[in-house]
Amino acid sequence: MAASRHFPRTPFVLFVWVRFCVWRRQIRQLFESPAKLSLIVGVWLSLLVGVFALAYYGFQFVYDTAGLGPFLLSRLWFLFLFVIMILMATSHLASAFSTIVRTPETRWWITLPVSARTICRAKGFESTLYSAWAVVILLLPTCLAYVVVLKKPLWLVGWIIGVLLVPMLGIVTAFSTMVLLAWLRWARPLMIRREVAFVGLWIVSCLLFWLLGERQVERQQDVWFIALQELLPRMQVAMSMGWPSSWAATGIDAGMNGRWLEGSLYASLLWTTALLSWRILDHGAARWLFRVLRDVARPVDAASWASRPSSSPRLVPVWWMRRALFSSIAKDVLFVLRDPMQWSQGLLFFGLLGAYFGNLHRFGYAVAEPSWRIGIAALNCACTLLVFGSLAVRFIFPQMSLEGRALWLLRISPGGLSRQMVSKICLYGFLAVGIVDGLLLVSTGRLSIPSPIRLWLLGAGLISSLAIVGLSVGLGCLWIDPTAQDAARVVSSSNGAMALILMLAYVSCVVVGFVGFWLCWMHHSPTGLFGISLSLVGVSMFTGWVPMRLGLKRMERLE
Amino acid sequence: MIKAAGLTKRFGALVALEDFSIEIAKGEIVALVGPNGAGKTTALHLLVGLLTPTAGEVYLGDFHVMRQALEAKRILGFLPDQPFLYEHLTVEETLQFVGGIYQLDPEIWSLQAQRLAILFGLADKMNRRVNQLSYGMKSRLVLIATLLHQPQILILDEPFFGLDPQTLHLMKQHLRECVAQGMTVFLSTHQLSVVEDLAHRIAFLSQGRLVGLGTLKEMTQRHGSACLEDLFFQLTGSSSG
Repeated sequence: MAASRHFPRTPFVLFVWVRFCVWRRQIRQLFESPAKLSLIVGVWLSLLVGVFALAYYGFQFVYDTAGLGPFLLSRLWFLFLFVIMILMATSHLASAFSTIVRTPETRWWITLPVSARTICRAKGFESTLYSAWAVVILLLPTCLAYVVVLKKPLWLVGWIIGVLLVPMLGIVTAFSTMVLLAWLRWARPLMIRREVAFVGLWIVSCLLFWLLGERQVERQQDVWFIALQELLPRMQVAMSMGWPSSWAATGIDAGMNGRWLEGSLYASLLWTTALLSWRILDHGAARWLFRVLRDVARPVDAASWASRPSSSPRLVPVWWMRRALFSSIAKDVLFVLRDPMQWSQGLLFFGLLGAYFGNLHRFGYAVAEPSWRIGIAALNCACTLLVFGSLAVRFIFPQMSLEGRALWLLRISPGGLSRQMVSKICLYGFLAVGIVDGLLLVSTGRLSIPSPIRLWLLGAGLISSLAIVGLSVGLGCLWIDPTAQDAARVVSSSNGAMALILMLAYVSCVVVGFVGFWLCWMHHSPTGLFGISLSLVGVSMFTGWVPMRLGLKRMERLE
Repeated sequence: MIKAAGLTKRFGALVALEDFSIEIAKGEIVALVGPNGAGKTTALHLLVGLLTPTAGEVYLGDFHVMRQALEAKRILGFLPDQPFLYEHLTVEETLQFVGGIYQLDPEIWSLQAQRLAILFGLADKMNRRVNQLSYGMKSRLVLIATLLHQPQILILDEPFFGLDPQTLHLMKQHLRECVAQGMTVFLSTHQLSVVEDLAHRIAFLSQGRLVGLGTLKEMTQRHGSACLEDLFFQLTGSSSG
């Protein structure tokens, strides 16, 4: 120990220093395994190239629309950024909850002489980084494709991301954190019946879709034109100038068209609002932090559950399942049910999808020709799998690591760790097939899809959701981290990022399969349809089976 | 140094702690004992400001633990029942972090860290990562981190759990030295032999209520018990089996 060695003195710098030390070690560990590093880099590069290609051809398609291309492209940014903003705000709620409130680190920090402002600022930045890094990386190829399609200089990508999108994400995360703290501070009693909030949101969403929809009217116009006609009025919400996403979209449009004064003004507006939001979070919301952390202590949950014995579900063993496997599944079911973090996001996203699918008949797609309806159904299927895939990485992937300190018990039990893996596959596989195929049934029903196609989509949903479960559980076992106590940490680690990349890569393959299926249907090619079905089954079996086998081997080695 | 008056904590219908009052003087060691679920951890968490009391006040030194939180925490050292450590930091980096948080002078930090590391047998593991330490070593590191800034008040939740006899002996000896220099210690434990050996006064907690407080001699005489174990069963209503 060198006596003269100086170390950071202010708590915020100390926090950054600790993170730097931890990340440096993790990166160094990654460099010690060149195969893993090259795989991660390779998959990320392919993902970025894939996003670029998808965005490039999409932008080019819209840009080539006669007379309307540039106008539609600029409007598309409003919609795109609006969706990103809503998704970020929602996902940041969960990220901030686990990073600020749930982590034992914060519980330790509040026993140290560190001000609430410092904790709030440090944890706010940390949760923002966790929620925004992947969004920024995926926005990079999208912006690049946009600039290339419009034949503008490449440095404009820096302008879009660095000057416009970063402050936009900053505003969203600051407000989201404030909403979370305000909710925990003032609406804590409502947390007792969390289900009410989610069901309420679901009903509101249904109402919104019902209001946005319109009565079915027969039209003999071009399908693409009808879609545009119907899309534009509905974009009024997304195009409201009250949203930071609209300021960013206007700034992008101004920058692309050389209106630098306007672009700079919107950039200033974004940065000023971002700084102001963080200032409010820093000064205002931080005042509630200690109170929130003291109130959201674990004994509260324990006591609330203790005082509600009737809420505990009765899980009765079934004759057709082995008792030991039943015990493992029952443990997992109770774990999921009693931790709202495990099911709330799923309920929210699948609820929104369900509300949308349930109101599909009001959106005029039903009047369109069959191929268009089948395209929409395939798109819905891809969308459902994408949502399920990302939720699977967030919640199913860390399950085995979260067994943590209970691993000793599971390891010496007769069935061993491999039974835990089987139980997780059974439980999540059952849930996945129920949810995904349930949603697809609603979607295909509302779009009046012919029975053979409906069966094909349901089959594809079944195979893909099982493959996603296999991939998540398998990778979770393969890259198990028994020391982890927080799911967010498992997901944000390099292994978590890798799992997300592989998941996105698989879902991208499925989406490509759906596009191929749609094209084959339009061109009446049964051979093509057969080939695509076979490829989908092959890819899904490979994706689900290989990680499961590797995971099983890892479990056997652990035992 | 520690003053709690009428501390009450309710979690919904559950009363975890009721009307808990205690005053601990400078240089005194008070042990809090009670069966599992008696409210010991809740009491300690209320004392250090980890929980908001439903009623009552807490003062650490001259500082109100809620209203003057930063000042109170500067003179406090708290060892929770489930301590947190950064797994990827080394022992030295962990101690640097704690030193930085308490704004210790680097010279003083170095002397203190070195002294405590030698005392608790971690001097040769300063460059080892926390996730490479055994459970016992981690416990020692947590103790060093708690004592590093020489707190005036030490609140310990189950500090002797999992320690080997040698470390336990060292820990007791070090606590006695600290108390002789004016440190105030309030600890909760299930190890009655340590309580007998170390504590000046003993507080008995049962079902969230303080059911007895005093020296071992006073209490055994008052209740006609032969030893601390009998007294424990008598006051807490637990069965000795």
